[in-house]
Amino acid sequence: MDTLQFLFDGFLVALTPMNLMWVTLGGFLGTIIGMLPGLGPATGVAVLLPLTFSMGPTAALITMGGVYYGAMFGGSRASILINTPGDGAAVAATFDGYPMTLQGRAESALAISAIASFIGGIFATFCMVAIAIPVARFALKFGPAEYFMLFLFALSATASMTEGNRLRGFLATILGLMISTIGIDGQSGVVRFTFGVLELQSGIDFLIVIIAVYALGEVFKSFNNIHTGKTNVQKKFGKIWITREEWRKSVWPILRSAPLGFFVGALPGAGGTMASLMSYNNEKQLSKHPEEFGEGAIEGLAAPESANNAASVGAMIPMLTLGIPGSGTTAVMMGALLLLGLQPGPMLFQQQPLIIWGLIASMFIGNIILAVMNIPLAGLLVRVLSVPPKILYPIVLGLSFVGAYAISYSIMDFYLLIIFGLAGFLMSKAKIPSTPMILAVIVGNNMEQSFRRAYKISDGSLGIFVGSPICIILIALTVISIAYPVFKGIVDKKKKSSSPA
Amino acid sequence: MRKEKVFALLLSLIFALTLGLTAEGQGDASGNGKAAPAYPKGVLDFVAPGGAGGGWDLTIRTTAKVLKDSKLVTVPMPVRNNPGAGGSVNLASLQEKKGSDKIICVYSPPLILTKLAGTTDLGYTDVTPLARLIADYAVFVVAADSPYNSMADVMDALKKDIKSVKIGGISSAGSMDHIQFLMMAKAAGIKNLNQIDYVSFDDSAAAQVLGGHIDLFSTGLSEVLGLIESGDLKALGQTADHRVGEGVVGEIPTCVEQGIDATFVNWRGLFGAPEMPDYAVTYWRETLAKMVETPEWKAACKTNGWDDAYMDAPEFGTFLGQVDKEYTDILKDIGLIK
Amino acid sequence: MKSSIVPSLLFLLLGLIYTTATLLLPEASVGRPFEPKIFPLTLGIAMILLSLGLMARELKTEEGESSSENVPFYKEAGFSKILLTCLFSLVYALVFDKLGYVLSTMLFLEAELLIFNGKENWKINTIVSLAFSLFIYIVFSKLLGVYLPMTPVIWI
Repeated sequence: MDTLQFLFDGFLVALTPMNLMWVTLGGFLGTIIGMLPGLGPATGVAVLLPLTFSMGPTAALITMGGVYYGAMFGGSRASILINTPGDGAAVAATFDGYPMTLQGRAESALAISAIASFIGGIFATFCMVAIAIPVARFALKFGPAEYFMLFLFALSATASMTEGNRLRGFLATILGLMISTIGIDGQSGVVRFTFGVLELQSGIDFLIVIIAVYALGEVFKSFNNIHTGKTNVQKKFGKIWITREEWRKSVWPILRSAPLGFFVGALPGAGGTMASLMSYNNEKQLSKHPEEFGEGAIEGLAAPESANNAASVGAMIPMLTLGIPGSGTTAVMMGALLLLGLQPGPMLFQQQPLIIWGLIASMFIGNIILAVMNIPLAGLLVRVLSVPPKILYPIVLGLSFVGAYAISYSIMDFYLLIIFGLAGFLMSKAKIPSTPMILAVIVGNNMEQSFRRAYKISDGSLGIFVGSPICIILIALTVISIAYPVFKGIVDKKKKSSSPA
Repeated sequence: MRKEKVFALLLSLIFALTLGLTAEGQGDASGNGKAAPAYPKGVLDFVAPGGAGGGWDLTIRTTAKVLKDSKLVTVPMPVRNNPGAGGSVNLASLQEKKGSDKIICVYSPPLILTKLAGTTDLGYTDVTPLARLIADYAVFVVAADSPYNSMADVMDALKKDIKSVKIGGISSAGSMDHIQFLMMAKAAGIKNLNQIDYVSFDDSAAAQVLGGHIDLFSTGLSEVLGLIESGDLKALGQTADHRVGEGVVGEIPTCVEQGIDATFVNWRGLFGAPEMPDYAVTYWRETLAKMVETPEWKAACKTNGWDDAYMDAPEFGTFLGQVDKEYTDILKDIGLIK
Repeated sequence: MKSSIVPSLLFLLLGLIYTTATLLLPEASVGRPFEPKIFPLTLGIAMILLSLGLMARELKTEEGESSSENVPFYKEAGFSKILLTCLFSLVYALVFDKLGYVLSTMLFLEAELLIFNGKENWKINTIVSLAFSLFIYIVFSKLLGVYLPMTPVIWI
């Protein structure tokens, strides 16, 4: 087997002491950067750019890879502990991770997050070794129409699974989509809904909305809790590990989410956020106890954590096999490769097999190192919870603002943060769910643009949206995702009425 | 309780305002300093008006690195990203730093295009040109199994049916990837330019042309170099006035060779803040002229596939005026400017 | 009028405003002129319909079932503090560039800690705000090279 020979050679490269040091360093730095709000893997890799000038291409690539999946490991720490996602891919970790913390189960949450990330990462790396090229070729089948249907499916699945009132879920989705239409319309150059504000022309960064709704929203809610004395300071901390029961609940969601994350990650432009949210929806739909999701269900944390790490590996596929950046982070990595005199593209595998296979081997090693490193690190981090809330919340505010600033260095984002923070608070008072809105803000622009691209390519015929098998499968999934909860509701009602209380 | 809050608020407001005012005074004093014996002093402020990893970012980081490695500049040159609205956000913030001698930023055709598209009122006259450094060229690629084998094939198809070839690019409608194709189409004699379907992709247009979703991808040479070398994409033409690069790239014919009498240069140059003091302008003109001669710079150009297109500030200013007119004409043709 | 229909009324209003704003958008000069309006128009109309649907549902449900047992949020004890936080944040945004990161953040945190922690703990408050702003500045600006505005006079 050629592949095995290459992989073996790759391990020889990755296991040299220097490269081991680089992957550890990269992973550590990535974890730290991932934990800070607003700083995600893209910034992490960009920060490293000047450093990589002085490394060889292999070391540079290995280090940047380490930063990338290190950030995926670290990103969910703040989500779990203080409800402040560091970047888009860590949003899903707040859904059940933060409720777990509130219930005093932060240790399990941090542990399962590291374990799920590890399994997701390793699984995806195996996939990469085995099927990188076919996956990359298959991903090419996704044209604008397919992307539009994919986004539509993700949105409808999220909205229709909103507990209680589905109308509210769809309203929140529409609101999020409206926010995403602000800015220059790429297909026509028309400026929409910016009220003459220059900074709004490039649209509202979804991270701002995320930080505002989650972190500021949490601070705003806390005012009432502190007032009524409903605050909890954790004094005793257990071991960072999970029980057998928790493992039993999580193992299948982790294994199911890894391939999903890997594939969605490999689609250029879809990325870790989509992967983690889709896997969350997926598990909620499959679960026998969907009502526990959002209330601290461990599988609701395990699934997206596995998926987003797998997605970070998947995202390297279009870059390495085709020289096409699949995400913001890989775009920066490609820039770095160019600076180092490497031309990413299909020839890279043939011209520089040692570099590529060295990187792949380092992913195996890096994921192991990160898992080992993250468990004790989590033991330190969890002590954040012993800080009294009246000091912790102002710090969360401080972190939110600096995170928002680091996204595009613009004061405008501070105002947006305040506006969306208030809006999020009012929405929670009106029982409008925020998750569908967040997802809509994240995929909205891409979704509309995909629609418009398809519309233009087909000369204004809507037939293109049912024109391929992928489209038809996605439409079927969308219909099921809307119909299934309704159907289930009717069945449940019948059951209730037929069996005496 | 209430009193306390009001008090705290007032206190912080007063504190903030007084400090704000003094700080402003400080800024003015340092900005208008007339005598400047030792320049550069302190920390310089290198700005990429786009995000990390983009073309602007790459250019300014490379410049900073070469200046440092060749010891032409010994003070620190940290690079800052100030993205937004195709560079217009940075352009606006430069207007608040009039007369600064610390800021050096990089720009390219969007500096002119964003103003023409109506994105901003600010343009190339609102910055101080220091030097043009490099040039990149546009390339038009199709999938390997595409029926089009030359630019003429594409233009003929468009003349027969203007909707038959779907053009894809990364930037939004009316900006670079769109304009560079239209300039070629115009030179080839196509009249109804605004009828040509241009599809803007944020970052994945190479995958789209490979997957056959669009017919032609209008982009920069360095974006698709790897795919051209591997034979997955067929390059129909590039927009320089001469052949560029070596090997497979050197075999890409220019549009001029194919009878389309037009060129498009994606120039990149360095600019200072408006009303940059003379001593600073002089310093940078001299330093950059030295920099482009260094082996470090030549090597960087080679690895990045850039053409050395150095132009000193006065010529660069004239050049900017010329391209401004060219872009205006084409945007008028498609009706983006009324 | 029942208070529970207020959200749906607000959404209806937003939907109407958004739809109007969409119709007022300029026409595209490249491609089909109405294209930039298709998607927003769909959103506007969908929001109007959904908000009407929500309103109808709220009107149908009994008063007792809706959220009427809760105090309205603006009468809750914490609400004035929320507004105060927003005000402090606005001031923070206004002075951020002028005062630089360290100083403006210190003041902002000091003010926030005053709301949360009370003025009797001013010593702790000052230590926390100073330590936080310096720590973040060093990590972001010095270690990671992420630009943060410098505080004048002391130049950090």
